[in-house]
Amino acid sequence: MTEQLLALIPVYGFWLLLGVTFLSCLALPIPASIVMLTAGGLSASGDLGLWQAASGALIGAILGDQTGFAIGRSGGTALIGRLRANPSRAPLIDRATGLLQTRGVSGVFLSRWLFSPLGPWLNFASGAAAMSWPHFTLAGISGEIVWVALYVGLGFAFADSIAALGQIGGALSGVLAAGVLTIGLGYLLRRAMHDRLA
Amino acid sequence: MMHTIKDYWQHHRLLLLGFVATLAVTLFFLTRLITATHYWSDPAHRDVAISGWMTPRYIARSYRIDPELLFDAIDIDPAPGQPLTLRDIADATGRSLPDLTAALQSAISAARADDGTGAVP
Repeated sequence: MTEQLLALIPVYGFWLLLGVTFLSCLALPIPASIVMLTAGGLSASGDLGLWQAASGALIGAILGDQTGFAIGRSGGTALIGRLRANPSRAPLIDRATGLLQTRGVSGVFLSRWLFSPLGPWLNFASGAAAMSWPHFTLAGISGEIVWVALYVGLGFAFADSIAALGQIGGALSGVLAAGVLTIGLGYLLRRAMHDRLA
Repeated sequence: MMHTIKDYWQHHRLLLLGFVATLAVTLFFLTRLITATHYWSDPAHRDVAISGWMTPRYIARSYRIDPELLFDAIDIDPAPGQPLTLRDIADATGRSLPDLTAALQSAISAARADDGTGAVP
């Protein structure tokens, strides 16, 4: 499936990148990083405009983030209310939403590029936790600029090692995203126990 | 220690399961990161297999050779405008994809032999 997708990059450039990053920001399993690396490589070899690739990817990502936030806000708020109904779970939910409201901006920024597999979920969660929309948007756009510049730029600079970049980059972002989630859950676990004993 | 884990299991089962699951996923990706880095650090693995979605210029870039050599090898004019993938070229010229790939590979081998950078495996 990836090969068929890659074959469409030289043909549909801008629109393909826009569609791919849009869908990947909604948690659909689309290999957006490989597509961006390859688009960078095709730009380096002269078969695709660099700005065309980068702007398509950026616009798609920004629209995807906004859509995810809107979905979270319209559907997720009710879900949070239902989870809170269980009294033993309520403090935990409050802590998570509180964390999103106070630290959410850096979370959104970093989950665009450093912990990118978490990005789509943070879009839904930010909407559901009613994070301030201007803050979400500002953090989201600046993070997506880093994400797109990083992947398209790496593909452009290292066009002769796209496959290596894709595999190593994929594994690295997996380690970072799962690692930060492990640390976060470990923190919640300790705090939850502490609250119970206190 | 055992006492603590038992406490966690009794009172925060879901959190504990989530913690263990994400820890396992982290270790899984860490293993992949190590094997991928090891694999790609071997120069023999760096040449990517030529595939139908690639354009001749992209292949030239991957193998660090002059694109003109590849256009010559498959008798194609590097026309401006829409870049063509190998599959497009195969469809347009009636040649098979393996045939085109073989022609490109021998051109790459020849170019590398001239450079003294070694032949394509």
